[in-house]
Amino acid sequence: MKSMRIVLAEDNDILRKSLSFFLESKGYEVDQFSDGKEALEAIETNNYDLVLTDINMPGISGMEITQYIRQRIQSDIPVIILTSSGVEQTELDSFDIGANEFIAKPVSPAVLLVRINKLLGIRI
Amino acid sequence: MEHLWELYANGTWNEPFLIVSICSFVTASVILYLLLIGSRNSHIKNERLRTEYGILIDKLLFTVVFEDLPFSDIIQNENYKKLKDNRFFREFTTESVINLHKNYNGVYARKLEQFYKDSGLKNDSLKKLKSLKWDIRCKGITELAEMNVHEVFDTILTNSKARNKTLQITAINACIKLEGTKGIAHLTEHPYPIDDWTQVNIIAAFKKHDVGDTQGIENLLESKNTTVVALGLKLIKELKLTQKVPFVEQLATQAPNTFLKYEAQSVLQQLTD
Repeated sequence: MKSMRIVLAEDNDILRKSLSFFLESKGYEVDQFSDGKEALEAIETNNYDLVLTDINMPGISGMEITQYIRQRIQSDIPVIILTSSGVEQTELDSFDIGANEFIAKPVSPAVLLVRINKLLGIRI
Repeated sequence: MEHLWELYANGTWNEPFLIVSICSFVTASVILYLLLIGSRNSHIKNERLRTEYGILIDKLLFTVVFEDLPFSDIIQNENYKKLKDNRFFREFTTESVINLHKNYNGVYARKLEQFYKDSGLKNDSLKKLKSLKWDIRCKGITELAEMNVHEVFDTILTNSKARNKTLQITAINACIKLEGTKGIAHLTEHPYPIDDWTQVNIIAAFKKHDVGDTQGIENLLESKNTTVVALGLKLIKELKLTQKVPFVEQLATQAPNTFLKYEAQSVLQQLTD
């Protein structure tokens, strides 16, 4: 079976690397970026199955990436937003601009995996 | 002294003065240049080591967290064995463990806590608490609180009474993280005014650490220290603790001054609207 491709945009080095390690160990192909702009360029030129992005990032924010995917590219690729913000409005805004899931940090990789699988329609 | 005065009086002082000045300037410049080079080299070396150790530490932590590698196996790793007593390596490992712990919860966070204990990094943090430098103590307190080391609560509580403002706020935040409301219970007897900056930090700590059990916050309203009472009111308002309304009502009728009475009425209005 062809492995699913995920874009992981997160500027915290150890979190990005560890999540990438975890998802790769579960059979996903992960392209990781610490800069929002680079992540967006990769999304535009490649076919990915899911986008996992932090909100606060250098270059372009996770919100802008989601907005760009929905409005400019008009793609329905699943988007999961990660954030350390506990502000209710941030969560509402994320869904408003088209994110499929919102996960507040600290995260549980196991829960993240379940949500990714659910969005990609993968049964374990 | 006499010799110097003679030099000045007969007007021949210019030459030796200029020679001494130039020599001092050149010596100082050389010393500063060498210090600069030394500092730069040290930074470059540390950056190189960070990259080198980073790869090993990442691999180590990921196997601990995601592959359930026991510590008895980690200790057999040749690279780890070689570096485990290196101060810089340990410091960088602690930094990475803390960073990862801040971002993970549940069973993954527990595995990191276990590694922190088994690897002796916890002892390094405990040593920091004994430092005479306040910034080192702050670092130790932050690390131990992040890793949920509850047994140091009393020591941290002692630090929350320190004179240094940053140390005091760091310690109070840590107490709240570790024990919730119990972490500020001692403030009821606090003899000095608590300034706005400290109050803001305490409220932020309650929000950040999502303290569920708020039993005891109402005791702040009974303090003789009016700034502590004001803090109690702010906490009740910011955390929207409607279950504390009877205590606020009581304060509104028996407040020691008009400011607190007004504040209590304002909180009541917000909570009951």
